[in-house]
Amino acid sequence: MNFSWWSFALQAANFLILVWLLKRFLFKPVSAIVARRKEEIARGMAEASAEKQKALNLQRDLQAQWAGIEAARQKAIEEQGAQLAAERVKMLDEARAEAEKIRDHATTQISEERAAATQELFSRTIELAVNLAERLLRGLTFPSIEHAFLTRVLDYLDRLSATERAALVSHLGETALVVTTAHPLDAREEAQWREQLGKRIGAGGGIKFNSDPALIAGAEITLPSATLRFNWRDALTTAAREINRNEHAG
Amino acid sequence: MNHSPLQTAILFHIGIVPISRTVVTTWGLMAALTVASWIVTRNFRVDAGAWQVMIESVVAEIEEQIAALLNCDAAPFLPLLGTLFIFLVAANLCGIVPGLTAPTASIETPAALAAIVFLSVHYYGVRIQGLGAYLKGYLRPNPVMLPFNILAELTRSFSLAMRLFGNIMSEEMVVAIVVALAGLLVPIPFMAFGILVGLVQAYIFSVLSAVFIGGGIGAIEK
Repeated sequence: MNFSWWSFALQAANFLILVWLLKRFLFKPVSAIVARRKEEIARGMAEASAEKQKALNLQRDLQAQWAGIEAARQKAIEEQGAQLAAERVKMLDEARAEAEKIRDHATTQISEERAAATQELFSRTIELAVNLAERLLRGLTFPSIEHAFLTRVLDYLDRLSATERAALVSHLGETALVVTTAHPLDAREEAQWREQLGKRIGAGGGIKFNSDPALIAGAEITLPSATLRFNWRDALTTAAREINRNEHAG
Repeated sequence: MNHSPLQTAILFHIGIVPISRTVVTTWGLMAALTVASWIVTRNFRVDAGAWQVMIESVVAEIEEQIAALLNCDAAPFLPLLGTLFIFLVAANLCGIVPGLTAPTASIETPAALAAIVFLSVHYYGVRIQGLGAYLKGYLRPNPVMLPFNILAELTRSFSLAMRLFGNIMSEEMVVAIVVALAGLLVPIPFMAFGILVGLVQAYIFSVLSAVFIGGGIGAIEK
């Protein structure tokens, strides 16, 4: 066995050269690619983390938006509910007022109808009473009763003042005085009327006589300026009018 | 094998420098490892293929072993110790190729590697611990131990070289003797056993080198 120092030195040099070569062509590329992969993994992890964070932020934003929407919805529901309640109250008030109005109107209408019916009934009653009275009076009348009414006419004219009588007979010459009685007067009665009226109002020659059974009894003297009614029809009409007026006033 | 493994076969000379078969074989291994590394790593991508995964796994495993032995970052020691393991595997196993002789079966190669490891221990020790702290390590546990520590430094490097040389050389001699005596097929079990021995010896040499360097940098108690 021998030992070659040259071979020893060459092998040492060879190994050191191989260290450099493998470092250059094996270890560095492997380390570089591993480092690059780690870097890419780290970058991927960072990107994934960022994406996760972004997703979490987005989820948080969406949750906040959802909460806002929910709150807005709740608020809208409450506002709508309040509005509907107010509207309901308003509608109820309006309906109640309308019902009150309708009821008042109906009450008023019923009252008016009742009053009208009462009035109608009263008027009918009055009319019936007047008709009854007229029928009764018509049964009680007789032709000579006109004389009693002549007396009343004359009493009336006698109580008039001079001024009133002058006003009553004004324009008498232009138009004839008309005496309407319930029963036709005979010649004696007409003469009696003409005489008495002529004494009081000076129209003895210009008197016309008519008859109207509707007067029931009495007479109606038509002057140019007025009409003097002294008959039962007028009395009944006046009485009915008075009763109606008193009823209305009551 | 037509020469004694205990003798250095000189193939030619460059000037006054004799070039032995061991050196030429080493050059061939260097060229093969370098070209293979360049071919494999030139198309490295982030999304690795099968070959790339295998290469990366080997390198990563070596780095993890170094880190586990040294209890520190393996990156500064990876080129030396990684190259040492890969070269030893290639050198130990190339003996099974007909016509080739394992470079580690010649005493010069293990001696050169052991010398480099010996120097690396001091280089890394001084570089990482500082000269004073590193030299103080030889006085522990007691200054009386200084001669023994120095002797241990020398003998462990010597034993490192001799262990590798003895195992590989004896394995090659056994195979050569069996081939000479029993013919072609009989040596195959011995050659398979030689593969195992070559891998184990590469591993042992690399691990012991890492342990020595770890002791030098203070990461491992001497």
